[in-house]
Parts: sequence; structure tokens; C-alpha cells
Amino acid sequence: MKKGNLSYILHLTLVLLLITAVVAALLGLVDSITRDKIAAATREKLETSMALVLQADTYAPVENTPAEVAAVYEARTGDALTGYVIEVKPSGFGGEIDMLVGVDANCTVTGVSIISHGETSGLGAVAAANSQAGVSFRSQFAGTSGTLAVKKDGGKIDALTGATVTSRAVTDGVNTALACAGALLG
Amino acid sequence: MQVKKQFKEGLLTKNPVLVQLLGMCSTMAITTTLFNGLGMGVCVTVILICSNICISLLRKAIPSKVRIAAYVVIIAGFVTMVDLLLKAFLPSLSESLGVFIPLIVVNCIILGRAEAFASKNGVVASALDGLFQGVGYTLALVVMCILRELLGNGTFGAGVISADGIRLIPAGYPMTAMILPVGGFLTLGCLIAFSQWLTKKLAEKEAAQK
Repeated sequence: MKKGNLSYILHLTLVLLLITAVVAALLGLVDSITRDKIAAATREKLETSMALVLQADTYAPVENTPAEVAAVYEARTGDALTGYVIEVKPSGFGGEIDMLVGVDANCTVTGVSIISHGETSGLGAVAAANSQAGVSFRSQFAGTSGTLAVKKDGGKIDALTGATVTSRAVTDGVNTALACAGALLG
Repeated sequence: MQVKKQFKEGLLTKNPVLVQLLGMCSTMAITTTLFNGLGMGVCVTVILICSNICISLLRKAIPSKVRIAAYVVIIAGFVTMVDLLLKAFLPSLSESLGVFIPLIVVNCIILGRAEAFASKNGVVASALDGLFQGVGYTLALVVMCILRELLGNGTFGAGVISADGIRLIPAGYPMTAMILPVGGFLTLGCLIAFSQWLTKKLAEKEAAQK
């Protein structure tokens, strides 16, 4: 009886081990095929988004950036400095909002693009959408400088309907980027 | 005949959302625009068919005591592989459906059908079950999406027809609450009541014919 029990337990363990091993091997295989392609696609998306917020020929990552920003890219057209593309991750309603802010050499915002976010679908998510409301929300930032705030907080930025937290977060992100660019431009 | 029965079960009498009440979390969260409903529905249908086939093939090899663990590993493996392949080979599709794919792992419809159907039936029947249950799920989501998008946002088909959709109610009038979770519960409740009424009507009609 005891021996039968043991072999039953072994059988269960082995079957589960086998299934897990096969799935793990398949996942490893798929990962090895797709890893490079995914990295290339991510890079391409980042480059497209960078061109969207600040038009330039080359974008080179800047080392030793302040802790409040995720990454800084130096944008150059020919040899001249066009400005900086700054990646910031302010906290929104549903986690971090990963966004790019383009700032030109006069420390003026040239564009804002949201790469990924976890905002409420239909409300905060509008900030990243390609709909009329989304585009007009993001385009308000172009041409601004200094410290921005939404209208509710006494500023000039029109918040999205039903998404004050998201609008504040995006505005904060732009402020962080402007401060960082200001420090870089001296 | 069996196929017809499975079809009817998936769409109405055993609809995953309206009767089995499976996958409520994703149903509440994403049914705010038509695009979301269609995207999630298609993703779930594809994964459901694959996992049903796979589990039906392995049903005799998996001991019943460890079946749930085995199913979870198989389903999670499938979802991750599909996610990686989409990201690598169809990045634009992955971008639009990307948010739904990780949600599928936690969608209990897949595990529910593996347990209730695929582990007891043959491969063809299980594949068909996956298809019909998936279509039933998509249909329920799409109806909820259309209602919530119209009442909460005043538009139809945002993201599908055009970026903004067709505006049917002027801005400022729609009830924002309808695209918040509370609107989801209200819509789902009404929809369940309607489907129950429809099921009853159909059963009465069938009885009268006999």
C-alpha cells in the first residue's frame, strides 16, 4: 500500500514536471526567435515617437541624467543642437505614464507623446488616444515654457473631462522635463 | 445536431458572460468602446480554441489531482507565446491589442472551459466549444460596449470606424458614469435579464412546437 502511494505521488510529480518542462522549453524557443525582433520594434517605436515630439536628424542618449527623469536624448540636426527629448514617468491614476517630451534649445516644449500608460479606458486613456480630444489635449503643451498647471490649479492647461488626475500627471511630467532641459541648457 | 446545440449554448443558453458569469473582471474593465470589445473578444476566442485543443489532446495523460496546475501552466504558456509572437511579427496589431493579452491569463473563461468541457470531450468538439464560447463572449462584450459607449460617451465605433467614431449624442450630455464600473454593472444586469427573458421565450416556443 505504501509503495503504491509513493509511485502514485511520483507519477503526479513526473507528469507535472514534464508538462512544465515542455512549456518552458517552448517559451525559451519562442523567446530566442522573437527577442531581437521585439527589441528592434521597440527601438523603432521610440524613434518614431521621438521624431514626433522633436524633429531632428540624430538622437543620442545622454549619460548621468537626474533621477526624476527616465532618459534624456540629445537631438541634433547636422551639428547644431536642436534640443532634448526627455522620457519621464509621472504617476497617473493607474500607475506610471511613460511619456516623451520634446524641448527645443530655447527651453520651449515642442511636443508630447505618451508611449504607455494604465489610465482608465474612455477617460484618462483619452490623453494618449489619437482622437480629436486626445490630440488637442497633447497639442496644448507645444510652445509652452516655465512651470505649467491645469486650470483647476490656476494654470492654463485644459484638463480632460473626468480625468483631472491624468491631466495633472501629464502636466507634472512636462514640468519635470522642462526643469531637466533648463538645467542641461544652463 | 451536436454542433447546433453547442452553438446555441455558447451564444445564449450557456453564454460565458451572461449565464456562466465567467471573466467578469475583464468584462467590466474593457467594455467601454467597441474597439476594446472586439479586440478582447478576438484574442480570447483564439486562445480559447488553442487551449481547448491542447487540453483535450492531453486529457488522458493528465492525472486529475494535478489537472488545475497543468491547465494553468499550459494556458499561461500559450498566452505568453502568442504575446511574444505578436510583438515580434505583427507589432501594429500587438500595439492595439497589447493591453488585453496579459488579461487573458487571468480570464477564468479559459480555465472554466478547460475544466468543464475540453477535459471530458474529443478534440473536434473541444475546438468547436472554444469557437462558440469565444463568439458568445465576443457578442456579449460587443453589445455591452455599444450600449456603454453610446450612453457614456455619446459615440459609436470609436477606434473602429474612425478615431473619434460617430457622435450620436452631443458632447456634454452623455452620462460619464456609464463608462465607469457602475455603468458596467448596470448594463450587465439589464443584459442578463434580457437574455434570461429571451431564453425563456425560446424554451416556451420549443415546448409549444412539441
